Amino acid sequence: MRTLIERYYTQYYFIDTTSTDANITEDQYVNQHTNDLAVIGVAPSHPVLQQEISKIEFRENAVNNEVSGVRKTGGFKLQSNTILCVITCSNGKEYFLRSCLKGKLLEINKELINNPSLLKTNHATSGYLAIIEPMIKDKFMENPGLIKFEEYHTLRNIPIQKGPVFLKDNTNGED
Amino acid sequence: MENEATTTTTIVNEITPPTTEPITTTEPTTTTTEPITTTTTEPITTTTKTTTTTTTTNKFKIPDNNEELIKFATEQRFEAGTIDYRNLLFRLESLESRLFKNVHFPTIVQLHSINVCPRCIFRFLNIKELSIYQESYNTLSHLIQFIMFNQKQKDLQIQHKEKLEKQKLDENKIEIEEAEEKEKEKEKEIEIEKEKEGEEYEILKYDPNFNEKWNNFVCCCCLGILQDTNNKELFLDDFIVKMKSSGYEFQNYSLALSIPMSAIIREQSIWYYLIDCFPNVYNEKKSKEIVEIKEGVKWVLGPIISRQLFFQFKPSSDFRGNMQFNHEETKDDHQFLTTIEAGKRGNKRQKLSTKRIKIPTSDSSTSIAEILGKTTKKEFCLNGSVPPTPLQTKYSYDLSFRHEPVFLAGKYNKYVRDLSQTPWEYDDSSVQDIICKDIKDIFKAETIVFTTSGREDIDVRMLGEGRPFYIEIINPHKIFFKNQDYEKLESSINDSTKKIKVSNLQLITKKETTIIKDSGGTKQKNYRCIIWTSRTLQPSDLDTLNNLKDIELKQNTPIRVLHRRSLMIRNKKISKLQATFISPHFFMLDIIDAQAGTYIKEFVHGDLSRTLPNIGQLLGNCEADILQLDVLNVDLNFPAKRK
Repeated sequence: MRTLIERYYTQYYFIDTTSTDANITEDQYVNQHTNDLAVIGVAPSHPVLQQEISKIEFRENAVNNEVSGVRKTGGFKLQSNTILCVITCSNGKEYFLRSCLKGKLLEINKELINNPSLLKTNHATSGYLAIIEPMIKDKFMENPGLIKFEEYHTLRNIPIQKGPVFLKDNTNGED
Repeated sequence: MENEATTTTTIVNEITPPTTEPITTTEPTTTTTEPITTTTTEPITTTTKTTTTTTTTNKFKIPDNNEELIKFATEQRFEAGTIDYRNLLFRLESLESRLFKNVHFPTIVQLHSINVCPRCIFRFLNIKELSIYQESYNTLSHLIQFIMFNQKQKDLQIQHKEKLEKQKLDENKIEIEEAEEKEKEKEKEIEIEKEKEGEEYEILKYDPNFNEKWNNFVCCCCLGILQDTNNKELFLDDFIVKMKSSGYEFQNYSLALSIPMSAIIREQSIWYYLIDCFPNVYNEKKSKEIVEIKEGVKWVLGPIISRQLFFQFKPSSDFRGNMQFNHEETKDDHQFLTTIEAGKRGNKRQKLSTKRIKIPTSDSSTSIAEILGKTTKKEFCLNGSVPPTPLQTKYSYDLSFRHEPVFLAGKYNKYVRDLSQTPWEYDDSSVQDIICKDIKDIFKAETIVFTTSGREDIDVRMLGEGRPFYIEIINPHKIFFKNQDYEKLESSINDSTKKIKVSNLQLITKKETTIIKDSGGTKQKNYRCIIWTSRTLQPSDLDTLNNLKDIELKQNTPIRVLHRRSLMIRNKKISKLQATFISPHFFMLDIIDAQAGTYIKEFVHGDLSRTLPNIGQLLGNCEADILQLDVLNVDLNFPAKRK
């Protein structure tokens, strides 16, 4: 549902700066919704997408995370580099996925535990990792480690693909 | 005329005016001789009396109302022999015989002596006869005087008799018994008896032109509130004008009074005083039986308001006048109570140091009333003033009005995709703004609150019969509207814009608003939307959707609203789907009878698979997105079509 992401979210990327190999960049995406909440997941450049995933294991306090009420009290407090889960690939390689933002954990995608391949097939949509309420909302770029959509595609040399754009209907007449 | 004159003269002869000091005289002979010298027809003697009485009893001057007092004093004069004079006496007699047969007379004397007004005296006597409170202050002043005068006369008669008895101590016992019986008999009988026995004490008749104590005191209990209630000059005229010019439209009215705390404390003080004076008659239990000041005021004002203004009283009326009485002079009366309470708390705290004790620091009337209830008589008498201190000044009052909200209901349609229902910071217009623009002015209201039965998104049109809404109009001054007024209002809204339309405008009751408010969980809605799919579809692919019935959804709170809704899975139901093929990537979908609160957009695009099932999933191997959404119908037939 590329159209949905493009309509409702501003897309950012959390860049792997520690990588020594230019081909192995553990990048993640951070999609900020118009209501400021953020959905995170693995970016197209993440090496895990080239592997066969055998297991996705969330941290215990992420699995047990529960928020209550409109104010979402009780959510797990996150730093930008808090590890949320470990992905084990069939070749034994392990990848750590991080929270990307300082904030509060609202929800993890528990579907990934039962169906790890979802991450690979639908990494941009239903294979999302978690929903976070970021601490810095207004000046979102002040969250350390983030770069913008275009910048990311240039940096990783990935062509930009967009879904169809539909004209907005503001007329008074019937369709 | 002749008959009239003769009757008058006979009455004049009957009435013997008393002297200025009939009560203090112990010798009955002086009282009987003096009145004969003064004749009621002479105006000079009466005026001199007035001056003497005012000078002797004028202990507490009321600077503000001096002129009024003089006026009152002169109005209180009655020309002997006039109809007014006779009427007054007749009235006093009937009131006394009707209501004061079994009262404790010393109480009246005692209360009168500490400056308690007649109506407050009635309160302490627990007289619940409305009519007596409604008498004019003038009559009531006389009544108190009249009762006291008669009582004193009776006492003097008894004294006189005892004296005679002493003299006749050696005489026959039967005679004494007869005399004792006679004591209990009524005045008239005594008079007859008087003719028989020349030596008998002569009973005097009350003269209204003599008043021991004029009106120049402020009731130390009600602070003048009940004292003035039907006094035209001091209170009533001003009050009636204020009531009349409230500027409100209303069906009926009610009055809410707020009495200064000092009046309540003073009431308690008087009870303690009465208990001290008459321990055999009063005890602390009895002090609960009292007519409240508020009640008294209402008894007096109610009939006057209905007579003069034709307002109808209703206890829980939507329109209410709030009378806030204040009294600057006694505003610190309660302080001794809080001091007592603070002292008690100090001791308690030492004992129960670990327990947290609620500290009533505020001077609110409820907390003071609470303290008053806890304070013992001993503590009260020791720290407060019993009886209450005399007053120099009267109450003041504010009269404000309030009308309960009225509710304007209707339905609205929205025909555009760029107008939100409620105002938000990024937009300069909304459905609410357009509808409510002139409502506040039309109803001359304080504020208004717009409520709808559910809501649609900014980019969703509201078609069909429209969505029910109501506007709570707070403190309206204008509430009477005709059908043509609603029509006018509708067309003024509908002519101002093409974006929305309102219909069925009408006033509804508060109870009926719950139909709109509570319909949330029950009502069903029909939607129509245009859907795009990532996969190319054949018309036959849509059969999967059309064959579905009673689809049960599990909707995790959409991310779109997660910032203001709690996170949970919501179970919703959709009865039916009707898909119409448009082109390989597009089709139209009618969603029939979706349960209230179903997030339709999420049902279509799936919200990152957080709503299951969703259209993309139902079609299989497909992404779906919603391009346009209309609400076709809100299944709530309210408000009804206007007749």
